[in-house]
Amino acid sequence: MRVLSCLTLTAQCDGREVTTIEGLSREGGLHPVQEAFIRHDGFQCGYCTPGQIMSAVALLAEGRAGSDEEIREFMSGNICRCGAYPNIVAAIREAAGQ
Amino acid sequence: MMQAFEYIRPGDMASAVALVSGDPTAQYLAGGTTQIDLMLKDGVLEPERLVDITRLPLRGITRDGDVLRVGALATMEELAADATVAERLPFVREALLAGASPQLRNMATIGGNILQRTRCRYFRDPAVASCNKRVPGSGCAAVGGAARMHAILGASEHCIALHASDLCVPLVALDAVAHIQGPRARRSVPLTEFYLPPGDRPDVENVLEHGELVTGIEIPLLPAGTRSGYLKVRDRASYEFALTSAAVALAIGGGVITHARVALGGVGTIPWRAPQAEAVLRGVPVDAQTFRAAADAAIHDPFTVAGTAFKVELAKRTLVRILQTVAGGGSS
Amino acid sequence: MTTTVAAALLLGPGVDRVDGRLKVTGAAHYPSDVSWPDMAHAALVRSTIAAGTIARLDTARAAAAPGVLAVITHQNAGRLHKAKRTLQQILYPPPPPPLQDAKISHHGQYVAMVVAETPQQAAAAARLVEVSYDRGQPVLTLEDAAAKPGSNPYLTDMKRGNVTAAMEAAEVTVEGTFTTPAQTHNPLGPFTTVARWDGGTLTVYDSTQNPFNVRAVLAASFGLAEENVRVLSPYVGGGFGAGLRSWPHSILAALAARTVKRPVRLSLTRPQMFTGIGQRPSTVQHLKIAATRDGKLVAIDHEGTSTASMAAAPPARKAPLQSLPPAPGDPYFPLTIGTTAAYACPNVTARDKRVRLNIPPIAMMRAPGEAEGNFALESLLDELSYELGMDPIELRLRNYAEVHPPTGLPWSSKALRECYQVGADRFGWARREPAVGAMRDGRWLVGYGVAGVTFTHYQARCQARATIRRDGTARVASGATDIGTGTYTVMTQLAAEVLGLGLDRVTFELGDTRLPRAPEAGGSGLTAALGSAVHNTCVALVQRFLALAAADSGSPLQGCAIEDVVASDGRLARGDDESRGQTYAEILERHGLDELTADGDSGPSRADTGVIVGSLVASRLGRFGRTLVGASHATVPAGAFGARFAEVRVDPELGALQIARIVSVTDGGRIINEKLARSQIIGGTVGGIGMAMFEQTISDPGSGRVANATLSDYLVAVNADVPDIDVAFVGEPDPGNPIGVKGVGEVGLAGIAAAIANAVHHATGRRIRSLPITIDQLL
Repeated sequence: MRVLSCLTLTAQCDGREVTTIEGLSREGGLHPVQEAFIRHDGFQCGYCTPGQIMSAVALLAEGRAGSDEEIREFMSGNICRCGAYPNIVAAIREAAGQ
Repeated sequence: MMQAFEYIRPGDMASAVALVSGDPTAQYLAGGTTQIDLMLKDGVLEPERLVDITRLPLRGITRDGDVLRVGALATMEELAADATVAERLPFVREALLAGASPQLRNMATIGGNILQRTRCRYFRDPAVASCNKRVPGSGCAAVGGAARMHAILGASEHCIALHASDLCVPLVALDAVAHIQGPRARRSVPLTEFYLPPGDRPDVENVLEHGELVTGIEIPLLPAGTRSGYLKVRDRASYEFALTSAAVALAIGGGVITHARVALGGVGTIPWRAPQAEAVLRGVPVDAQTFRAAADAAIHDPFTVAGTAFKVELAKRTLVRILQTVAGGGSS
Repeated sequence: MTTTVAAALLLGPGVDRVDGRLKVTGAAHYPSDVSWPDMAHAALVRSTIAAGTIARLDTARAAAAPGVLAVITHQNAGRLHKAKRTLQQILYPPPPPPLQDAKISHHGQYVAMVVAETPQQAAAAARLVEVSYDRGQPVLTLEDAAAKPGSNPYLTDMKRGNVTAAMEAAEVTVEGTFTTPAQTHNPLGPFTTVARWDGGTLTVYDSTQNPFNVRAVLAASFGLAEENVRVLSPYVGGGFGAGLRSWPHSILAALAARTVKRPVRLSLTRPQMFTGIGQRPSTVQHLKIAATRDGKLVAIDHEGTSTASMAAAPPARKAPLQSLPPAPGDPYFPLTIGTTAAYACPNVTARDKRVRLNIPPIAMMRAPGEAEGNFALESLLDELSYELGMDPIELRLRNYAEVHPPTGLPWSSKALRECYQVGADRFGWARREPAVGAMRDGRWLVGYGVAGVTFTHYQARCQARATIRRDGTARVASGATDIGTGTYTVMTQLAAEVLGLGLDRVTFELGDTRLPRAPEAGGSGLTAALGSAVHNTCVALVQRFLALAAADSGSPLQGCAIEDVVASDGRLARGDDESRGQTYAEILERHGLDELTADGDSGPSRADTGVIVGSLVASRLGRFGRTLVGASHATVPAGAFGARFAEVRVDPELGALQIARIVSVTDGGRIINEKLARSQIIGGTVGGIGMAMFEQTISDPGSGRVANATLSDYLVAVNADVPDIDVAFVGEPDPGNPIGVKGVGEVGLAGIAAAIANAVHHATGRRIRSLPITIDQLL
């Protein structure tokens, strides 16, 4: 379940399982979403990227990557000032197709 | 930024309510999307004690005959995904999904949504001296300032702060009821009576006494066959509060409106039920002129400033549009 | 081996970013991620008035708060010195040294700093600092009676021909007033400085696009030699121009570290990002265009006024604000100079004005001046096209500037015609029904709009260093920054190409003032400057290897000049017989060396200055001036060119505007990496959509407080606002530098607002001359 860390006190996570970007890839490999982001250049400065990727992974689990329109709407909670949105959508579209 | 505070997570409701009721410096914490925001980001709230209620048994969404019982800790995403909501209260689902973002909807509770504080940037900036809501009697800087995301109904020179919830708009249209637990007693208050327009006391927003806890809401289901819709108008395509919005439910038989519920968002200092519009609609045939008349009745005697004047016409057109959409059988 | 790039190679391979893995795993460290042992934290206190003086400061409660190590105000900050004026400082003026006196010149100015053990303690204590003011009378808007516009603030006013006479005699004229609001860069990464003193040496990590400027400012502030200051900026969370200047918070972080004798990290809050790192100014432009009935432009009169802060304003003088000397307090931001170069029009005047106000400082923001000036020019040309009953592209082509209009000199390269042609084709411009409101889709009105872009060229001097080691790998370095543009990757590609190494054998290092001197990541000029320096440096390195071979009678490469060899797979071979060659490793071993290094650089912007000077000479001296300039036989270095196409949908009843699709075609010269260049254009397009539809920094009348200083209130485009963007590149490598690059960092944004506004007009008949295009303008 995707949430915003900036509005969550650490104490509130007591007893819960938290995954951050560092926990996404396994044994040095990359998660398919991470690979897709690289391939489609879904980032520029990279500052929003961990959030975009965690959000995208959750989006896929939520089953909300059925169309570009759906991806755009349900990824709109992640702002990218560099404007990489079309590439983010392309990366998610590819990851959804796998 | 806030001062150091004590964080407590009681395991039962009685303890939680006692903790907050007994301490004027204590506040509840649920999803945190209003509370942490106002504490950490804006520095408006500085509780000395934060009582986390998220482990209390206030979750769950259950249908009970013609009523949907929603625990205060149910999240926006959970309510939007509920099968009864999808089937019988589609405009509730639409309003929920039009609000915030998926991450916020996973965190934000229904209780918190009802109790959300205004987004007014004069209220939310402690460096602004004139805010009757924060500092009673100090004036309203928004009225003479750069107001746009502000209210035109229930507003005055004392306060134009908007109640920005999308969910509350169909909830007041539905006559939803809030269940409240106090230190000594329980009570239930319809949402249409729960909120208090600012008047000359903008610092008092609802009927709750300090420490009273909203434990859940009860939503009467619309009669089967009632169509409903929610339309939200905003500058950008997503992730923004409403400029104007409207929730309507219509039952139509033989081309005549037999039942109408109308409420407005983006315009009220409180979630705005529009009984005047409902009166215009009830018992008349569906047509454009009726819809426009209902809209004119709904936006009655607005209080506008330069930056919000455009909302008068936009709010009317928003209502007309969603009435047309719902009457036409589609959703927004 | 050729030392310039073959003309046929326009689009380079779309190699994945070399820093991609770091960024997608959260391993790229931004300044806010830097943590040093024993590090303390600083928080800032800002003024709540826009003009006046501090009357009373009480820091006792703050100083007594938990964890507080120091509270610094103008009363105890000590003397900080202002940086000397260099060319850099004219383009990117240093901030006035902070906390030096009680004078307040904008809302949000820093009046105190708290240093504490934790960021929360510092911020909590900051709120306990009590400040009272003697309020002055701030001048806050262009309309204020006390606002005094200064003429020709950048010395770029120009004219050619006789505009007045031409206007009078013209068959058709159109005119309009265009306004754009202040905007804020809002990179997602909060600007952060982490500072540490080691004796008399200062080291900082900083959010910057211009580390050598930060170094100069910090050195001057503390009276240090520049070699005793080191600025590191390997990753930046976005810049968009805000990081081109140095800011007071960086000086304050270093001051805090010196005061508490510990490393200090200072991160700006999001509201502080609205007052502390610059903003796009608000502008008002008056534009008048005259033409013949068949669409030949005869005269353009363009006047533009922008705002600037009071910071470092020269002392009051009797004469109007001629800004040389002293350096202007706000950077080079002319609105109208682009108009002089955009079209073949014989009579043109371009006049800039600037008004100083009690507002936060201005910083260049992606396509500064160009974005605003282009909005006015391309919108009014669109109006003219309707007035003439002429296709808007045809109007532009009919006035195509084959040579640089102010000087009459040839462009180094220009494929703007192809931009229109390719763009029109990909967009389906031929489907456009010219009549306003003629195209519909259900309840939606449909509009097509187009705008052309002529962008300025900029290339500053740059240095680089390249080393090849015994293991056959190369390390190439320069002190530039990669703000998301892809510098790490593109420079790795260029070096690998020249040296003949696999990409995985080359490492590019940047973002450190200990590395060779590089210019700012700005003006769309870094790829040309740094790429050329890298190219030249790698060529020099190959030549050093050949020099070693020349001294070695046993080398198959003996006697080869650089044109005689090919480099590939870490090996130099004879062009006439590739079986004969040596690897770099072999050459090093043969000569008992562990590594070989070469330094190199790329040319400064003499040509850019020459163009400005030539344009001004031609402007001042009329025909005689043009003859003089023409005799130079110079070539005008061209910036990028572009054509922007937008299709919009408008719901007239609700005032809703949607962008259905965008086609953006750019002549940027050689494109080193097609994938990354495409991303730059896309990013610029998204910025342009924001400029057209959403972005405005709103201030309270009377107090000057920024009223929408959060990302909830200041609206940038979100994912759902952005449609498919079709990006294409045309043209050829530009002969102006050895790698043929013109730079595409900003050009993607220019033209978008006009293309959208023109499309809105096509759909609705409404001519919107004030940005952003909001619902209330469309109702």
